[in-house]
Amino acid sequence: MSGTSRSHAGPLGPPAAARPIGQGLVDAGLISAEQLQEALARQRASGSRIGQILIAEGWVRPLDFYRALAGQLGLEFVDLVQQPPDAALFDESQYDEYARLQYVPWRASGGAVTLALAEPDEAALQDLRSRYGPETRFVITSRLDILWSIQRMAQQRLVADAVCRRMRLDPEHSAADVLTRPQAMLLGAAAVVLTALLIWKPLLTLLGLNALFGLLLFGSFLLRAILVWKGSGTLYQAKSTPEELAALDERSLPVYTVLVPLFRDAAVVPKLAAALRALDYPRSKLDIKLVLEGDDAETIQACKKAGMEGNVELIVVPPGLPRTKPKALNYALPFARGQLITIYDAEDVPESGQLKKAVLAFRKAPWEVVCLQARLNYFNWRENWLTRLFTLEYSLWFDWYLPGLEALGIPIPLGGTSNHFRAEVVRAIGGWDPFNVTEDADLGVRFTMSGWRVGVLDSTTFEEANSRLGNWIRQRSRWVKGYMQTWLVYMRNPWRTFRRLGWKGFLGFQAFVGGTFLGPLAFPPLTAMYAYWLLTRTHALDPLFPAFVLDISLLLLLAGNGLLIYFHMLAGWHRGRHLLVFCALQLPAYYMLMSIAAWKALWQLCWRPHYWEKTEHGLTRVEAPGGSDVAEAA
Amino acid sequence: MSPKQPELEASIERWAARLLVLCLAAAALGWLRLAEVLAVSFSGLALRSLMRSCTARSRLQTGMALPLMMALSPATVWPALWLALSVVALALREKSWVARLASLVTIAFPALLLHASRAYLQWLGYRPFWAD
Repeated sequence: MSGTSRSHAGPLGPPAAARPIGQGLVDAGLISAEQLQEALARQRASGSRIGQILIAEGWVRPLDFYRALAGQLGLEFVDLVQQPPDAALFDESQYDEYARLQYVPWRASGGAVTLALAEPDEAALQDLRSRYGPETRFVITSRLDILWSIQRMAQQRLVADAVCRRMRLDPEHSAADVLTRPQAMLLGAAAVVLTALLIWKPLLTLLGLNALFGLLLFGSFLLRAILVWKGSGTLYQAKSTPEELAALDERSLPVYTVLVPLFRDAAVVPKLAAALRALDYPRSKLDIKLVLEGDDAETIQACKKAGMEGNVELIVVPPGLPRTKPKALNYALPFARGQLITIYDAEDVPESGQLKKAVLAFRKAPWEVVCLQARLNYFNWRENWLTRLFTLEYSLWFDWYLPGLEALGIPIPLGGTSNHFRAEVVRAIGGWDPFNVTEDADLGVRFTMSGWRVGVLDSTTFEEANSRLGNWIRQRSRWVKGYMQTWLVYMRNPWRTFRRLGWKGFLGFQAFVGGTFLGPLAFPPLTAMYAYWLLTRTHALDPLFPAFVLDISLLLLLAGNGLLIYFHMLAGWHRGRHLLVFCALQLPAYYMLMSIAAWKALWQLCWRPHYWEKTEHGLTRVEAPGGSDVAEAA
Repeated sequence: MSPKQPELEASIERWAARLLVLCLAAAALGWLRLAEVLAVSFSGLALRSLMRSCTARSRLQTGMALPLMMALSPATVWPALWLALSVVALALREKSWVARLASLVTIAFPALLLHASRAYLQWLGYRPFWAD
């Protein structure tokens, strides 16, 4: 650090005779001449600044680079850890702007403010002078220092916004309350009426319920059949060609933020580092944020030890409730520098070209497409019975159902990871709902409700399928609970949801989101009733099954179940996993597990609605694919 | 696949879908001769797509063509047999026996399902309206 205080009030820029920054770093022995040549070549290809390239590749320490930059510009370099900003100058409510422009107010003297900044370009300086006055002075600091300072000084505000911003912007669609008062009253009234009817006309009431469930399940099945038909269409299965990808000019690529929320994931950090390193995107344009929980020391240590490149930054979320992934994402959102944002889970192995494919897809898509969901699948599908069935389910869901939803204009419930967003839109709608345990599904519906659209990206991210039953039930119960929350949130005002989604979107939402929990909830009683009849051939159930109800029930039993098995077979085949075609015959047993999870979800919705069932990762014995294996598997 | 290929395949898929809808409508109206002709045309298009491009939709369509022809009338038994033999020939192109068998299953399963459902309903002694 410079001993003398030099700050700058005039236009910035190196003196005419000054050496370029790269050469200065070579002369100072901070990088080698070969590294400089390589960085210059990459600069020509990507259009990034030389400093960003050197830092992103890990060839120079950020502090060394920014110190050299300060020297080149004739400014003082400050280490904000040693010389923190003046708390009296720091305005908590401005943290968004500090993060966006990469600066913090540092000192004030003689009526002029000195700002510490990391990206000293003319546009930013003019912007800052117009805010703080022409006498504003500047010193240089590192981007990490800015990030650290904002997190330290605006912590309370950041946490409050992460939890409450979404609720403030759109209170009616927040899952903070499970039921609104009118919903609770309606539910209570329905329960009273149903009980009265069961006492007064028990058989007729049960018949009515049976018929109603039959029709709802039939509607859900019908939608799934239509989705498979639409989703299997050629136009929805291929969107970008290798030639188009190869022709992408790297200079035109935007900065891409990758958010990776981690909690008790120390075991998978080395794999995560390898997967992030394998992404085919200029590193200098990758802004990777590992979002950690403050009391998860083990994962924080693992991240620090993983030796990740300079484009990886750690965001530490202070511990507190609700401890959910969406809260962590909201906390990290102000620090995202990219025009595009994506989310990966700790155990994800995305196809290396996924980010480029997303850029291309956004360019080709209409302006209202603000989010793309990549396909998810599992690398450890062979591991055991559970992973095989889970993989079949995912193959159908992401490869066939979601393209079908896109084709029909029905809201797409996002899949938790590998969703790619236009950053400005995520910010505009207030980020994720921290009280919804499937914040992704909620966000997908919310985009459609707001007039935006979600598309499907023809690229696959491979994840680790849950290979242990208890862990699987925990994960699935959270998903089902989240779907219940989402359905309840958007049914608070059904008329408004209907007007915003249109009849197709509204019916699709009922059948797809509602059907996802109604089917598993109804499966055990219906199966028990059928098994009882099959074993006893009793006539006691005859009054519940008049001709029209029996016809629908038989259609569901034979065609519904049979065709769902068939659709899973096709999805397994289409993924090139031929063995899974035969495994599809075991789906009824898998449905039973889904039912157990759904009933657990309903129980939790009543008693612990915002509790986040943590899925343990890193349990598989199967090695995650890497490099070309990922592309081949995709 | 040439740049025009997906559009061509999509266009054929659309025609096949129209034929299927018309076939089902004709069968519902009792115009069986027309339904038979449409079913055979639909099957032909589906098989053509499966042979040429092996798309997801063509496999689904071929899988549906077989039970459709079998269910429609005895007159379509021969085209159905021809379709079945073509599917077997197609499956033999696969590299392993697991893949060959899986290929067959992904096309023959709806036909097997139809048979099993008929057998079940017969055992039950009940004929729902949709079975007519």
